[in-house]
Amino acid sequence: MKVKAAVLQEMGRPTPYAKSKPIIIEELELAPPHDDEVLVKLLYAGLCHSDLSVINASRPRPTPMALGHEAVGRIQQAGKNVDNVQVGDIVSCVFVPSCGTCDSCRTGRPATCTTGAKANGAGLLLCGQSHLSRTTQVNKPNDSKMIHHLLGVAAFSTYSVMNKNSVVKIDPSIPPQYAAVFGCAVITGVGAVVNTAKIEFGASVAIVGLGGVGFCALLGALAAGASNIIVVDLEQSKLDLAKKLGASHGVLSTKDISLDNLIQSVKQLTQQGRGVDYAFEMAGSGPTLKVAYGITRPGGTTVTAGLPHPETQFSVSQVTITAEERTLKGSYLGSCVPTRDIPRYVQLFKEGRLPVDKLISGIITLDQINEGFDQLDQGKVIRLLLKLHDDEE
Amino acid sequence: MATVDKTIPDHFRGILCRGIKNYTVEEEIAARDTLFEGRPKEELLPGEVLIRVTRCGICAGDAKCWSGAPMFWGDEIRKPYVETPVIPGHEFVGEVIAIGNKEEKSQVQVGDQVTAEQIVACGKCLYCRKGLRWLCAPHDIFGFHRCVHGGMGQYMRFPQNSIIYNIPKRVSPSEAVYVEPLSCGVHGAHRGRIELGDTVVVSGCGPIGLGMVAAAKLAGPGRLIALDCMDSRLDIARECGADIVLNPLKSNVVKDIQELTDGYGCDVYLEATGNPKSVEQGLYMIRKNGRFVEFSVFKDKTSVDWTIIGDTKELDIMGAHCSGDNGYKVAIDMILRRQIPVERIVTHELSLDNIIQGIQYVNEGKDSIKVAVDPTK
Repeated sequence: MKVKAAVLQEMGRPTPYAKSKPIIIEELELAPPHDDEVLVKLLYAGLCHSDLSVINASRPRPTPMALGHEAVGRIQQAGKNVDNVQVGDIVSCVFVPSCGTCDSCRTGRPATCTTGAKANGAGLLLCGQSHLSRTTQVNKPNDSKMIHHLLGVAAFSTYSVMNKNSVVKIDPSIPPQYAAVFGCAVITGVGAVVNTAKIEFGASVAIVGLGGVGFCALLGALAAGASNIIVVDLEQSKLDLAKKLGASHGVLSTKDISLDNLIQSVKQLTQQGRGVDYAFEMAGSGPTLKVAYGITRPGGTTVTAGLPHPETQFSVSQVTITAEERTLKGSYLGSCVPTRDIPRYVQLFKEGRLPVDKLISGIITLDQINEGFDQLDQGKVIRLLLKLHDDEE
Repeated sequence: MATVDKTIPDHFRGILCRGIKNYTVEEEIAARDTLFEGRPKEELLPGEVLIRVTRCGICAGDAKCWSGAPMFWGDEIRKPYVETPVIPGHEFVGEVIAIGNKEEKSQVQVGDQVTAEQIVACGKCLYCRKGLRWLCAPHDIFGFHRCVHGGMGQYMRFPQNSIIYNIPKRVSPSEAVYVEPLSCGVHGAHRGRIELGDTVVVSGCGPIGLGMVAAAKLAGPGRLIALDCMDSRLDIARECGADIVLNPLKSNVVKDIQELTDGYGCDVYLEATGNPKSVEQGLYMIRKNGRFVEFSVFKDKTSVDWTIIGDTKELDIMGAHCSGDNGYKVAIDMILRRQIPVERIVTHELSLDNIIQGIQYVNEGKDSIKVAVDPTK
């Protein structure tokens, strides 16, 4: 069938994207789902920094690529082996298509599924193929007709085909624009706090970077009973919103602030100035990880969900790892089991305990997508949502 | 040495535990013989603190001690724990009157409202060295050992290695007296390792159980269920944050929980009744790999088919005692943030003369929840 999709032509075009237009809305041919796959009609998709990192080449992927990985949709068709969803179900998309049989999947760690990671790295579905192709030549005669899929989801599209493990059925009663964020921001952010770190109620917490994932970490820390929550960001408006949601302190950073001064300002807000029990780095840069590490107390845990360029190295004072018995933990997909955690967090949202609706900064359409990524790049928004279809039942 | 503020008299009024069912009100307890262990009262050591007590709670442990329970007085297996004569009471709050000079700046000042951890850890035994001070081997708990006379009297002395907590004065003594039991509830709830979205059951809505309900609530359980055989206590559990309350005398609670959880069972069971029936019930209603916390003191032995612990359910069974590492800190924070309706839990405040009545209230457990004495009355 024919679909309209946001296709990244090449990585690394300069900002503003409104001018350089790295993404073009193309009409593509979408092949039907195989036996293990589903055809999804996308309703809303979130603009996430992980999409932006492909656009700006900090997370290189094969191009041309249909972007988007955080979304809510409705199952239109299901292959005959699909047993987890059926036609008509409302689903959240998941950006690791966990195979269920590798060592990671079998030990309850579907986020680190090796088969899924391989498919994602190649920009293909689990079946090893792409289902998207151009119907006409876009640029030069020998340009590839094949379009890659981002993270097996390719959600900035009217319709997409995904492996059945890329979708989780969710409660259809919640408004779809709120449902959209559960597949990435919510499970990544909340999961970092309650699964990766497993904070105890009463613990002190700091969150460095208030994007969609950072804000969800804040919601997770509030829901799990953290007693002192310090947030750090470059935007005062984000700190203000965080405090309205329940953060105890907001610390404003600037692009050329001395990291040591920033670390001291945060530590002064902690008991005896020692630092927090748990610090969460949610921005994906060397400096933010340095700050998160620096504000963690001796014996404390620093968690990072940030995804910088593959060649980025980070440095910390190595002796402190030993002398202060520090723990540094990576958190991918919020260490979640999506089939368990997405419905769990949706339920908490319904009960008012995870107010993810507060994260939605605005709704745009496909033709505004380059402008949308400019806003995200400037750090001005938390979550912009792409609306793929007009309202319907 | 410090000079002692002249508001400490040579003799003061308080309760003395002299033996089983022998708790009497004494008008003239000699400060030197009790609080100061024979030292002149002027010789306050650096870091020692003198307190004018405003309230002291009566624990189920105190009531059982009065009754003659072997865990306190000894039997064929156990040595006696309590040393007599001693001023009982480990759930106390008061005002600082004097502080022995310290090299470093003192954490507290004269006039502060304070409590101290119920246990004064030795720092040298196996447990203290592991950082488990609430399990200290000599186990000097205020009110049971003569080196640490307790709070059921007008004055107390905190020894040098007490851990003292400041309680801001916007918390009244009637609320602050609940800090110690709440700190135990906090520790019990921490031992359950509750995760966001969990189904948590608290069995027993006395002072400890209610504290566990309020503390568990902070961890964001998906459903928090309180069980008690008295509907009046279930009402208070709801005010403490329980989503669902059930009475085991009125419904098959094991079945209720199984239905609520698609047949799996609850994730966490916090047992705070001291009743063998509640233990069995919990083992049946908890899911495989679930976390079972046991906090209570029992009167009767408990008997279950032990297969359920391992082969059937591979459970984590965790005991809990006293306040853990940060129970007091979290408890004081909870009261400051009004995260628990303390006024519904501290139901009686009696003068020292009514100590036996107070103990009877606690032993009966019907018309009261937390009973306290007010030595100022």
